[in-house]
Amino acid sequence: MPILSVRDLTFTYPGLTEPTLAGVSFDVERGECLAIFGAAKSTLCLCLAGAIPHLISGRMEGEVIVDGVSTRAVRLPELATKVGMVLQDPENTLFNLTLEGDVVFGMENLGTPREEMTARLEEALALVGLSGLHGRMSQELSGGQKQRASVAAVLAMRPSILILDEPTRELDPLGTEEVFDLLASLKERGTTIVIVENDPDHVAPLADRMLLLREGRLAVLVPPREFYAAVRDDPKIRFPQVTDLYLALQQRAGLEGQIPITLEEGIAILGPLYQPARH
Amino acid sequence: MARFLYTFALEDRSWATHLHPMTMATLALSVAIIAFSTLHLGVMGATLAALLLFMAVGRLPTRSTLAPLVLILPLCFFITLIQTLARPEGIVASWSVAGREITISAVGFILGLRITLRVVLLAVVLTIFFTVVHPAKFTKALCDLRVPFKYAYSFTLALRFLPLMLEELATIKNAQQSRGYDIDQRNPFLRVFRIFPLMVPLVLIALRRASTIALALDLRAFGARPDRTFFVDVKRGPLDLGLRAVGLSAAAVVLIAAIAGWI
Repeated sequence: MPILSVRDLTFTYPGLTEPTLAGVSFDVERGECLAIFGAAKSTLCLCLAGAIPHLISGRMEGEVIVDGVSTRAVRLPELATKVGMVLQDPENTLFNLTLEGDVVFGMENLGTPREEMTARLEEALALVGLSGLHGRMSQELSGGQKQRASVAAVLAMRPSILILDEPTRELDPLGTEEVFDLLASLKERGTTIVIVENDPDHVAPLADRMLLLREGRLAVLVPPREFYAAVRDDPKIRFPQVTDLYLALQQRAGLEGQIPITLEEGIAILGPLYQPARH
Repeated sequence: MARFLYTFALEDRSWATHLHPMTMATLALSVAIIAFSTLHLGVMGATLAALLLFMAVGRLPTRSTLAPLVLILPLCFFITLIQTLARPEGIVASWSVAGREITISAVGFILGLRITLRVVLLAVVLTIFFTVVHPAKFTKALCDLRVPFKYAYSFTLALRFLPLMLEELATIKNAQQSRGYDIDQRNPFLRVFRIFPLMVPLVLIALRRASTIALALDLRAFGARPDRTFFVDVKRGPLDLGLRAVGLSAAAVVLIAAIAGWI
């Protein structure tokens, strides 16, 4: 049974005649990582998290079922135990003055007993690699640490699904590495992840499937290798550098076989073609 | 990173930060009652001395705690100047300038100093409050007094986003200056006048941020249950009871003495 089911989802913002999302349907299995690309990806994330229809106005049709519960049927704060969403700018998600205060905030709102909060706080901070920084002021953390703290704050609430909307958009390369290392370890632990991210070099190795929205409709939903083969002529899609190089050389060098999406795969395929110049 | 008053409370380096937040609120209220009850120099001087003693015994950082006084000094100067020039009694000198008589009043000067001392007292007790009280504990203490969490929490939220808004203002200021907008005037009044237009983008940024924060709060189950729990705990000890008793007793004595006309 899928942990997330989207059935014929259509959403139109107030004042617009055309829907931003139109008849989108897909499932996500437990422990899977789904990457979303294309137009209206943030709107789709807001639907998955229940912010639409509870917080953001507009006309929503169809249904989103998270862990057996329709997002329409329960209030947004109650959905927080099912879906955890990490927003783009960690500054907007760390409301408290200390890291500890931010991680326990959601648990406090859910009425979690103090002893359990302590245990979950330690666990969440260890997971994101911020153990020992409990009392550190949120504003003192680096960009990468802030985003990891945001993930810890969500994980402490024990959601069934983790949704991340461009989590590295505000981060430098080091912060981006930190966040993707964390996501890789979460995936290994079986966390279900839905991610919107424009960094193909990091997303391709992480995702199990990739979903492309075109004009609000589901256009492609396949594993990464097939995804890049399917969208190779789409100028709006950014490819991993190694995939880009492979596709550029494919015809000239007469390459056949699977498209590489990681550096290791690229070296294995393209390495034998490289012949250093002799002097 | 800019340090703010509450940083000291978060670092938890003094016994004073372990006091119950309502004890500090009671002390602040007591000082406010004393300051508004009388302009007696001896009483206000003794109260200021008591506050400075509290700072010394509590090992509060003198520099950052008293730094906000710099902001009120111009106000104090103008209060004293106006009183000195405007009071009709106790005139010690007078000049005629352009057909107008300018007088110097010793009574006005003393009154100006008394009012200055009142302002200083209020400022010092407030900065001590913000230095010593942990915002999360203050929120918990307010909730214990049955203040709804969403109102009590706004205190912490405001403190959290104050540095961010200052950063935003600095960014806007730099962006405008890089395009030739001249803000750094020597004239402080002109400087304030020039900063005012920068408030428009700042307010727009704040509104946009507020809507994202509202979404983020809801996603973290804000207001999900009436029986919300708290990770921090606040406890009242014998020292809390003693300090509250001393503060309220002193305020009551001064208030009665002022009403009776003894001071």
